[in-house]
Amino acid sequence: MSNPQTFQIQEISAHPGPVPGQGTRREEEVCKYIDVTTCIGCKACEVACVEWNDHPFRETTFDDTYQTMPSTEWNYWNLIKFAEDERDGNLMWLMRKDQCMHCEDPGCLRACPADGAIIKYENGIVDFQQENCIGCGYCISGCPFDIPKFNEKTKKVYKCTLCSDRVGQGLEPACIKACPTGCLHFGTKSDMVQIAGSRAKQLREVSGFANAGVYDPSSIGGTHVIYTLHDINTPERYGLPRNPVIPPSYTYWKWLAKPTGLLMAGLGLLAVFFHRVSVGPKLPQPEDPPVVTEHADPVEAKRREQP
Amino acid sequence: MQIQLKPSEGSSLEAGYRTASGSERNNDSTFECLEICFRINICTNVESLSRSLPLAVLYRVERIKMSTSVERFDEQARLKADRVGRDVVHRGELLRHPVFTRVLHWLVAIAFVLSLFSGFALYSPWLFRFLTPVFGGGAMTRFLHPWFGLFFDIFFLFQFLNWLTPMWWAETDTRWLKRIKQYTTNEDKIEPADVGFFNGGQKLYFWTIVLSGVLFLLTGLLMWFDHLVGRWVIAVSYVIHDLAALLMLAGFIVHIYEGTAAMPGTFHAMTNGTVTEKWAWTHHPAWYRAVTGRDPREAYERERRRQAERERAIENFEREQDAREGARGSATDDRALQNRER
Repeated sequence: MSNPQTFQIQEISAHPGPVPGQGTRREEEVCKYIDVTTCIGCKACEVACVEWNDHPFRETTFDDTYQTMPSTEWNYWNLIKFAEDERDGNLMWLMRKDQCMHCEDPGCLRACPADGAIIKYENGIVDFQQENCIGCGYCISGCPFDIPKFNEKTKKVYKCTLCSDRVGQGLEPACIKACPTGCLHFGTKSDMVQIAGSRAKQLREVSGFANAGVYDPSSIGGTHVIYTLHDINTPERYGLPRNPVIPPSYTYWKWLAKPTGLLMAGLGLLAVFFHRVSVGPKLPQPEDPPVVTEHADPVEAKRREQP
Repeated sequence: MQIQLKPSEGSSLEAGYRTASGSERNNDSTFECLEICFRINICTNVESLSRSLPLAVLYRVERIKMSTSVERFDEQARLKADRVGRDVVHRGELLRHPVFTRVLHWLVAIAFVLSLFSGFALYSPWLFRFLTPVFGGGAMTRFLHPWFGLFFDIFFLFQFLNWLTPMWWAETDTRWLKRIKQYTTNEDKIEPADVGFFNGGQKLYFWTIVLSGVLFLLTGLLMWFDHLVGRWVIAVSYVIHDLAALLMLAGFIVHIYEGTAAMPGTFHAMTNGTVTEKWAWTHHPAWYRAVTGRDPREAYERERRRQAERERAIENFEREQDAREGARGSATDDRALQNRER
């Protein structure tokens, strides 16, 4: 398949004026935008996710909320989190669709030691390749959103793919297609940021949510799943970290200290080798045969003789 | 220091570290292959420790605590090893490591090398491709690595109990470390007279392994059962695990070098278990004194004199031989001349 950019018309013979469509570029980065203010918690997206990814139905957990289970699972990638939140003496029922955030700087990918187990596409989707996964679970500790989940049986880690199989065929993710209220959107990153921003503005100006804003954390270079929240200052209420970070052990340590350590080990090997060559072994004393002369090298002796 | 002479059967029942010598009567040719075990009841190193009372108390408490199931198990293993294995000490040699110690050493070594290389595969993306196929792929490497590590720690626990007394840090080791420059540049041909069974460097490596082993176990278990702890615990454990590995790797490289190429005769101590007397008075004079009862310096001087005499004798013999051959050579020349004339 050729790159669509290749057959973009560049010049036209005897054509007055600019070339139509000149300079148009296809935007590569995709994004899912979730407007939590219009989510009704119907869980259609959960069902769509399970259906499309052909996951078996699993037992739910009842813990006095509407939530299907406490957290996402290795075969349950999409979960609406229900939080009962009191604000100004009123109860607010916060519903947030939880799934992989497809970070611009993915902590799972930084932490992974296996070649090719986690890849990030140009369009921003972060995808796990289970055939290369070694099941060490480092990605779980690298993720600021607690998304990758370990399967005890296969010893592999799984998470939301942002329906990379559907997106690759020009379709929107399954959850987007299922949403009845239109709180889920899918498109290019810039479009989604724009829509999210205008919705936040509307919430601030019209609906009386003075702190409404867009959740697209810059500490990990932004995400390819963004939210509009009623109150951007307290993302914890929705179960989102205020300042998601990747542990420095997966960034600085891994990419700076580790090669340094390897280099030191290599230098250590060289050091002992050249110690043997130059200083020589420690022989049991007295050595036999005993040392006769200090410099028995005839070439060296001749060189010293010459003025 | 109390040194007790005992036949080998009885001594293995006793706790503590044993050293042996087969060279007590070198002049007696029938004495080959016989071993005498010296049981060192109180190590000199420990005596110096007793100067600081709290440490001494702690040490005693630990000794009492250890004399429970673990030590009994350790003793049984030692007994079995002694029954199965053999220490053959030839003339002019000293027994350095009994069979139990040797087996333990190689078990630790194998487990460590397996852990090291499977760990290296996970440590660095540059080594992943090379090393994981050796262990049957990435997932298999990940599965095996904690088990290799666990076996390393278990085997080393026994080595720890086995060597705790001779490895106890003493003032002589601090002095040894101060002379490390002279040691590495081979300025000292013979070690200082107070260097015992293990020198300061060996003890330093031992305690490095103890420290690394504990760190490996703690952080390794946290990473093995990662679902029980938070992500930051894993992230920190991972760095500590790496640091412990790098620390031990540095010691490991030096250890292999010193045990093979740097000090000829040392490797034999871990295969056959014996070293030559020459080796002993050169590298561990105080130990030589403890097991033979002879002065290492005097033994060295005596050997030097004997060697010089031997050299002289050989030279004399060769000179005589040359003279004899020269005479015979001229005689044959004469005969050849006569033949030609005829």
